[in-house]
Order: sequence, then C-alpha cells, then structure tokens
Amino acid sequence: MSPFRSIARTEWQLLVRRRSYGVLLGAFSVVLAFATGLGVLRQDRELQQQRRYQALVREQWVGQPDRHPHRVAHYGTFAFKPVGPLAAFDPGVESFSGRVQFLEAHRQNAANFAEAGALSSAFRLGELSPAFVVHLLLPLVVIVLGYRILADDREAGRLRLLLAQGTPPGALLAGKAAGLALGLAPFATTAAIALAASVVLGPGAEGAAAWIRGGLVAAAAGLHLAGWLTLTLWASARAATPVRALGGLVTLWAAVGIVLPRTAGAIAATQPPLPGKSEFAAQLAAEVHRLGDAHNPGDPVFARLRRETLARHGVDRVEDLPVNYGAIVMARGEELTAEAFARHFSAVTEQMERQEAVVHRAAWFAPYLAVRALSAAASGTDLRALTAFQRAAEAYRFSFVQALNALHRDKIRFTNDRAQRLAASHWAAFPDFHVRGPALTESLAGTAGCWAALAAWLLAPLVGLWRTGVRP
Amino acid sequence: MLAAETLSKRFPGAAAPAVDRLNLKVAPGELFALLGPNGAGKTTTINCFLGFVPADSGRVTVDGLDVASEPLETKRRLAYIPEQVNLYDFLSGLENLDYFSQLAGHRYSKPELRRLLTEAGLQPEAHERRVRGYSKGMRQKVGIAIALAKRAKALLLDEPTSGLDPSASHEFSQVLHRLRAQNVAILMATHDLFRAREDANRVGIMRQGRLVHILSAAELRQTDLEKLYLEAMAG
Repeated sequence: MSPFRSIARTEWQLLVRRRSYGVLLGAFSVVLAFATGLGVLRQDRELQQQRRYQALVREQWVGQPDRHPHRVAHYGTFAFKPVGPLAAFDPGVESFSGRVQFLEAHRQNAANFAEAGALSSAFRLGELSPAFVVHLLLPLVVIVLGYRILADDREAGRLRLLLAQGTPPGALLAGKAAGLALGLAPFATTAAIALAASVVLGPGAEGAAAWIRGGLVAAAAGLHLAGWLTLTLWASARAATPVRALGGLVTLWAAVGIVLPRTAGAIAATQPPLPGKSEFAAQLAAEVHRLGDAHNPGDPVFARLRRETLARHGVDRVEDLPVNYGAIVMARGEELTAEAFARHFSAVTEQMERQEAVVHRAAWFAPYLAVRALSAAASGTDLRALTAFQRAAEAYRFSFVQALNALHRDKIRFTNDRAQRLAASHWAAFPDFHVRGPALTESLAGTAGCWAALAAWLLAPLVGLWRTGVRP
Repeated sequence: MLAAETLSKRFPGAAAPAVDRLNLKVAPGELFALLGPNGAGKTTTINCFLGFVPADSGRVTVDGLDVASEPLETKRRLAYIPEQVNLYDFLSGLENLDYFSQLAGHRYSKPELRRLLTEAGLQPEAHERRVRGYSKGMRQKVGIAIALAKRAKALLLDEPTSGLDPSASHEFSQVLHRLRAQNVAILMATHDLFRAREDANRVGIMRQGRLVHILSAAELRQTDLEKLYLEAMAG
C-alpha cells in the first residue's frame, strides 16, 4: 500500500473512532433531515395554497356578473409567484419577499418593493433551510473534525516519527486530506440525500432540469467545502498548537459566514439605497403626472389624443365618435403609467443589481456569499427569479387591463357610459395568469464571478499549503 | 555509513552555535555513543542526520548520500527512536507498528508484526491493546519494533533508555547488540554512562557543539568514563 493510501485509511480510522464523530454525524443528520422535511412541507403547503387561491380567484373572476368593463378592471386579480424548482432546499429570497401580487387597472401594486427595499434583511442568518445547514453549518463540521489533523501530530511529536519514516510530505498532506474527506463523506452523503429529496419531493422541481439544478448546487457546495477542508489542513499545518488552529478557523468562519455577509448586505443597501414603497409610489405618481394627466382637460398629451381621434373619424365631438372616447383616454393613460412604471422598475432593478454586485464582490472574501448566491440562483429562488416574476405579472396586468379597455371602447357607448353592463360571458375569455420560472440559462447568467470566487477560495489555501509544507 | 563533515549549525538568535565544526563517522556494525549535557548539540546533530534541521555549513551523509539533496532517500536508510516515542493512542501497538511500517514502504503480515513486537520486548498480551493504556517503556518498545521493521542500515537514538527500568534497559541493549551483528551503524545520544560504556564501540563527549573527546573501545576499558566526563564538563 502506498503511503498516501495508508495515511488516508489510518486518518479515517482515527477520525471515526472518536466518540464525538458519531454524535456530530447524528446531530447533523437530524438537523438536516428536519430542515429538509420542513422545507418540503413548507413549499408544498405554499403550492397547495397557491393552487387553491388561484382556482378561487379564477372562479371569482369568471363568476362576475354582467358588469361594466372598467369595474372589472378594478375588481382585479392576483398573480402568484411559482414555487422555485429547488425552493424546498434553498428558499433564497423567497423567505423575505412576497409571493402574491394584486393586479388592477391604473396601479402597479408592487407590493414586493417593501421586501426588495429591505435587501439587507436578506443577509440575516435566515431560516433553518437545508441550504443554510449545508452552506453555513457543514464548514463548521469540517473545522471541528479537521483542525487537529496535523497540529496534533506535531504537538505530540509524532510528526517527527512520521517524517523520519521517509514519508514524502506531499503524500502526508494528500493522505491527511483524503482521510478527512473520507471522514466527511457520510456528512456529504447526508447532504446529497437532502438535496435529492428536495428534487424528488419538492413541489417546484420538474423533470431533468431540476436534477441539473441539483447538480449545480452540489458542485457549488462541494467546491465550497473543499476550500474549507484545504484551509483547515493548512491552518493545522501552520498553527503552533491544535487549539490555535481551532481558534483561528472558527474566528474566520464567523467572520466570513456571519459578520462579512451582514456587513456587505448593509453596505450594499446604501449603494445607493432603494426607494421605499411609498417613495417609489410618489416618484411614479409624479412621473405619470408629468407624462400626461387624463383628468386635466388642458393637458397637451390628451388634447392631442382628442384632436387626432376626432380627425381620424372625421367628427367634431367625442360624443359623435363610433367608439367610446373615455376608454381611449383610459387606454392611453394605462400606456403612459405602464411606461413610467417600466422605467422606474428598471431603475430599481438596476439599483438592486448594483447592490447585488457589491455583495458579489464581497464574495471574494466570504465564500459563503458566493455559495449562497449560486445555490439560490440554481434553485431558482434568487432576486433574478423574483424580478422575472414581477415583470411577468406586470405584463399580464397590462394586457388584461388593455383588453378590458378595448371592450370598453367598442362595446360601451360614450353617453350614459356608467349605467351600461357587459355580459358575464366575456370574463371567461380572459386567460389565467401563468408564468414559468426562469430557464436554467437565465438562472446561471451572471454567476461566473461567484464560481471564480469559490475556485479562488480553494486555490488560496492550496498555494498556502504548498508554501508552508510540513514542518516537524 | 553515517558521516558528518565539519558540520555547523547556529539557530537564529542564539549566541553560540549548537553544533560547531563537528566531524563524526559511524561505520556499519559500530555503535557510537554521544555523551554530553543538555544543550551540548546531541539532538541537533541527530536532527541534521534526519534532515529536520538544515546545516549552515559542512555536510551530513547517510550511506554516502547527502541529507540536504536526498532528504527522502537518506530517511529510508535510517531508523529513529526518540526519547519519547509518541504513537497514536487510539490504535493498538500492532496497528501503530503496521502503520509506521507501511509509511516506510514495508508490508508485514500479522504474525511478522507480532514477532517484531516480541523481539522488541513487548509482552504478547499487549499487542492488540490500544496504546492509550501503555506505559512509557511499552511505547518505547513499539518504537524499537518500528525501527527494527524498517530494516535500516543506520539507527539514530536520542536518549532511548531515559526513564526505562534497568531490565527494560538491559533488553534494549541486547536488541542493539543484535542490530550491530547485522551490520547496522548506530548513533546514540545518551546520558547513560553505564550503557555507553557497556554497549558502545566508541564514545564521543560533546560540549558546546564540539566533540571534545573520542574514545575507542580499547581506550574505554582503561578509562574512568565518569571522571573523564566530569573533567570535560569542567572545561
């Protein structure tokens, strides 16, 4: 047997013979199983609820009596954000953001901005999700199992005997790393089972794409943990005593796992700060007012609309138009507000992306940020997925309100407008809201930096280890 | 087999060199005992042979190979028993021996491992017990077995009998005799004047990094070693 294999096997034996090993594995498995069960149940309940409410909302929409189309536009409907493919494993921003949006005429009820504005809250420790257990707690297990791996040998004087046997230092380090990895294998397997369970049982996961997403989460987590393993080995090779290795590693873990992510989140939130919900609404109202005020008879935009409409139909008075002029004004107004909203929404989205970029830059120093971003992106529960939903909901809102305005224009006469009704049979012709989650390629766009940060996180301690070597 | 040529080593910050222009040769089948007080440079000399401490000047060779340029090859030709043999507490004596032998590139069957442990003086009923419960002497015997298992051409001993009871010390001396008969070159740092006189072909007395006396076997028989040692220390 080569020295490498002997060392790997013996280190593994020494690790699993420790009494703390079984306790740690048991505790980890219980916590992860609990988190996974909770995640699956929570997402399942969410999906059932969505389905129930979506059906109810549809039923109520279709069941509306004969009504004026503009009343229908204000009656409104709801859009539900679909459950992310791996939301059971990693709920991402979904644990902070709203998932329901009320859709009606004139207004973009961007209820979700309240949560988006509180981006820094997304950097709290968060709920006990499987992702949290695997990405934040498992590195701690690596540290606890590994900090003694070389420091103990040196402190006890065994390292001299090991080296005196003619063991190549490279084989010694690689063998120790492999032994530690073998000891960690049951933990990794437990994590893989939790991930697979989320793919199989999670309500959002569908088909082969979900497995690919699961594979990507596993790859990111694997890279992250390999980095921690190498770092632990390095600390153990460098530190004067095992206790110092442990102290240094745990301090670093707390810094890059808790302190830095929170700080980065807080800094990101000021870069520049997002408008609050009411601020956003006020900005939007001012913009809409500037673009054109349908209620102001002297407003140039609507004065021109009136001129052009009358000219097109060759009449002098709106009452003589073959179509309902009130509906035309409303449709134009809807276009203007939708444009204004789209602009403001894009501005806010860009701002959020800038904030996210700050967090991604911090990921070079805190791999937890990188693995968390990758995990949420692959799970389809990141900010990008939320924004895509909000855009889809707004597009749906615009199309159904404009369809109602068209009915209003064509089927309701201008005179005595408010007293008229449209037959209830019209409502069923409106499609229900459906949106697909982001495609895999969309989810992965812009994650290269995070992958690079994780790779650097693995490479840095490798270089350190190569430079430090093994000293007796 | 073992040779140091004008070997010098000064540790950073130290006023005097730990080893000062040391010349030393140990031939196959010879046991050279290094005497001297703590801090005389005995352990540093051994560390230079092991390649754990790089020489400032001069050179150290094992079987003609330079330790500085062939650190692994020279270690393969050496066996080493420290003052404190530190083993893996959660492995048995047998498992420890097996592991350390594998690192040296040897693969022994269980009966062979048992035979080596017995040869080193470890009672058979202790072979499969965890080292955690071993006395210092028992650990030392596993260390001897590890050295025997290596089938090395040279043996480095750093105060191997300190803390051993007289009978264990005696058993150890017999092991050394057998190894000498097998043409192993042995360099032993020790405080034990009695054992040095009994076992060694030659004795060197070290003081402040230098060999101040070297006595051959014939000279040893005619000398009061203790008196000479005390005189050497008095300067």
